Amino acid sequence: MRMIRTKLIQAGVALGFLLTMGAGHAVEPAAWGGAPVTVQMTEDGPVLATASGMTLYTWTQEDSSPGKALCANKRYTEGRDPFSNVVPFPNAEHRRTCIDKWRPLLADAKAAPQGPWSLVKRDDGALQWAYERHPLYSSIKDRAPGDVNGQGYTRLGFIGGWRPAFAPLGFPPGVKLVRQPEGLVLATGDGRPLFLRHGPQRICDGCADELEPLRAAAVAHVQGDWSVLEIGNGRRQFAYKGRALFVSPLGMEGRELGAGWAPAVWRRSAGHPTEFSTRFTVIGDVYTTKEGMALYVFSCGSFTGDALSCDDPGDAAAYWALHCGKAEVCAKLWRLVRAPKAARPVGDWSVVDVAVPLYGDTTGSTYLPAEAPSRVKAWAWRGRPLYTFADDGEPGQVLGHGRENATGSGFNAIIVPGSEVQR
Amino acid sequence: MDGAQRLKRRRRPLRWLWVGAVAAPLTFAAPTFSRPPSHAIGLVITSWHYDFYQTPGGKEECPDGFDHDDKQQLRATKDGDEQFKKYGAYEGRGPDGESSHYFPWLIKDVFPFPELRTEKSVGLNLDGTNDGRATDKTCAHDKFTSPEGERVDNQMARVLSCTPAWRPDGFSREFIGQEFEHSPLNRLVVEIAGVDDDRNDPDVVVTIAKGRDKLLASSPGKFVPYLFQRIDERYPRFINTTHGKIVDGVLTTDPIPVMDRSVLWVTHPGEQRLRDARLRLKLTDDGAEGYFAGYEDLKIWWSMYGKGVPGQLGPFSYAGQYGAAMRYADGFKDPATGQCRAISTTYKVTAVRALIPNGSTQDRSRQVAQSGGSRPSDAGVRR
Repeated sequence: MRMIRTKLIQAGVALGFLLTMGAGHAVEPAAWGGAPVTVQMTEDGPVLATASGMTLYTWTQEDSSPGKALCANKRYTEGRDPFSNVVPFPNAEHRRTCIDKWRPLLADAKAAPQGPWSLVKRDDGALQWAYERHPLYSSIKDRAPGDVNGQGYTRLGFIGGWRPAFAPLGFPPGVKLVRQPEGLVLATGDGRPLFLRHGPQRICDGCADELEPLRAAAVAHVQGDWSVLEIGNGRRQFAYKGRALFVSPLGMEGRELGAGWAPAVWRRSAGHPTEFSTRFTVIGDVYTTKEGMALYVFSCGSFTGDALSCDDPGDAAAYWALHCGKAEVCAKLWRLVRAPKAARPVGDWSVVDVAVPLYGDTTGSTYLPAEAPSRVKAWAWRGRPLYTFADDGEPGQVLGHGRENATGSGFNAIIVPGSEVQR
Repeated sequence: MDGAQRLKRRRRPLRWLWVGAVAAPLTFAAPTFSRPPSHAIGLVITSWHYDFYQTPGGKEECPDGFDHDDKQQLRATKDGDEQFKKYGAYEGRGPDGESSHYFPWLIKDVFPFPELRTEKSVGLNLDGTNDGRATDKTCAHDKFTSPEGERVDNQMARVLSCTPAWRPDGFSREFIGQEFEHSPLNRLVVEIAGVDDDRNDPDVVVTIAKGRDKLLASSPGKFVPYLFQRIDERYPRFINTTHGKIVDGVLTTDPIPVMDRSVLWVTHPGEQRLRDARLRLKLTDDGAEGYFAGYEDLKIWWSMYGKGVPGQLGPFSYAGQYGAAMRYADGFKDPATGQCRAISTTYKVTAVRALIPNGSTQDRSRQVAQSGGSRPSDAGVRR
């Protein structure tokens, strides 16, 4: 068991090494403990993935019942809103179930638990793989290895309770990765990004005037690219690839630093398509068209135990109608950002087929692209088609941001990771 | 000398440093006996809320009662249950399930909108008329009379006054008030520059800008004056300049044609646009209080207001309020349709004195002189 865990950690470390060396999309083909699992690099960091590289997720609702799979084949037809009103789901007879949208990572009858890998018996008798007792699922929103499209996206960030199953990284305790405009950046456990000082010095005199050293405990154990520097008076400081790491003192995050500091980038972002740009707004830097008009995505969740998303093709059209009315009106208010033929996916950005119109009857379902009267290629962010908002009258406005209902379903501008302004 | 005494003694210089640090800005900023001949007064706004004439229980101004919410309206609608089943949301009251928040113009309420039945209101005379007749820029409207007997414009009172959420103990009033205090998005600083005499000065330059720093309260509602409050220069379009005058300690500014500001509104970041915005502030040694008034641009206002709390928390009907806002809109007439696109609104504000380290008084004086009172350029909106 211990060997398996070590192997996984080693794989993570090796992966980190490969990536920081510029290896790009590295996959560790491993069958740890018999689980048909690989590690796949994503824009959010390395994740556990299926054998074909599709991101695996865990569900927060299962955190309080370790070893039990709550995502079931049950069709809910109503839920309760935040005021405890019973609310019927529109087009309920066509509503999908949790496992229609979240596919359990099933195990065959011969599978055996090992180390952090265990097996969960589902209600229908099937066996499902779990990692550290969290059952694993893949999302129907992911289309290619490296996608992390499964989470809902609101003005408050990613919601819905689903999160990628991140692979262990072999970092020292209390260090993790956060998304920043530059890419994945080393950070403290509470999310404060770490910084490096430009120049050759390992120990930095005067650096503490602006930032404080990332302290290492006397018993800190490090491996791989990590080391510990003795900085005098018995103090120790973490270093990454031989470079001392610094952090803003608590409560002083976000201030402007003097020249010579750079975020400790673990992996550079793949960036965004050249058709797009960014602009500083009241919510932070947002992605925009070249003309400066904010880009939005639609995200939908529902009030139930399964907290199922309602924004996939084939879901109820009423969720769209609530925000933008009939399909023709909707298309004028929320203008689809079409992709040219030469458009190529990059990082979080891809090209998807979108039904035109999106739906026929507001009480029915949205079309699957193949069933629609016609379809077009559109740009997408994390699998969600992009829109501009007709009411944004001038570049830099984000009047459509947060046009949501009480569940957080609606349209939101896409904020460049790590650039949100303090609200 | 024991260890504890030694430690105490070692700490003394530190204690004096603390005293110095606290006292320095006070010493620097407290009213002095020898001000320079031309100086600047800095203010940071500490509260900002709609100001209406409201009596206990609304008996005088809202005799028809208060507003109803989406749930009450939908349930009273013929086929309301069926509509609810089809679209699964009380706010989905449009003919195709459109939300009352985002398509209020498509929805007809069952319960009538509670009209305001008073002629009293605080406010400023924005259109310059005494009778509210239509002008080139304004639509005909019924003016209010202020407690001082002035004929004033504050048509927003007709939209919100009879909504429980906006009554003195209402949810929205309390929530928005708290947000104003706590969110940097709501921070507003005012720099009055070129002041020769704090009591009477016929021409001063006034900059109103988004601030970047927190307010500090010594107790609820009691804010510490003379702290540093920076202008948030990341947002040039939220920096506005105009001229004004001080008469008997009351600052009155010229209108700012378009004043944009950032807001946090029921947890939603957004913005607000006041047209012909102006300030009337009674200045004191520590701060100021008075009114911020102008014509609220309805499109931008609704982009913010419509995202607010569900109507059940009001209770109120978004459709009813939107309809009233359009009906009572009195400013910025669309020449093509005759519909006014903005509504006169008065906010009551309080402020404390502040030190504005990046006020750039001289630069902005030049800018306002050169631009004839308009805003600095929006070019290069970047951090």
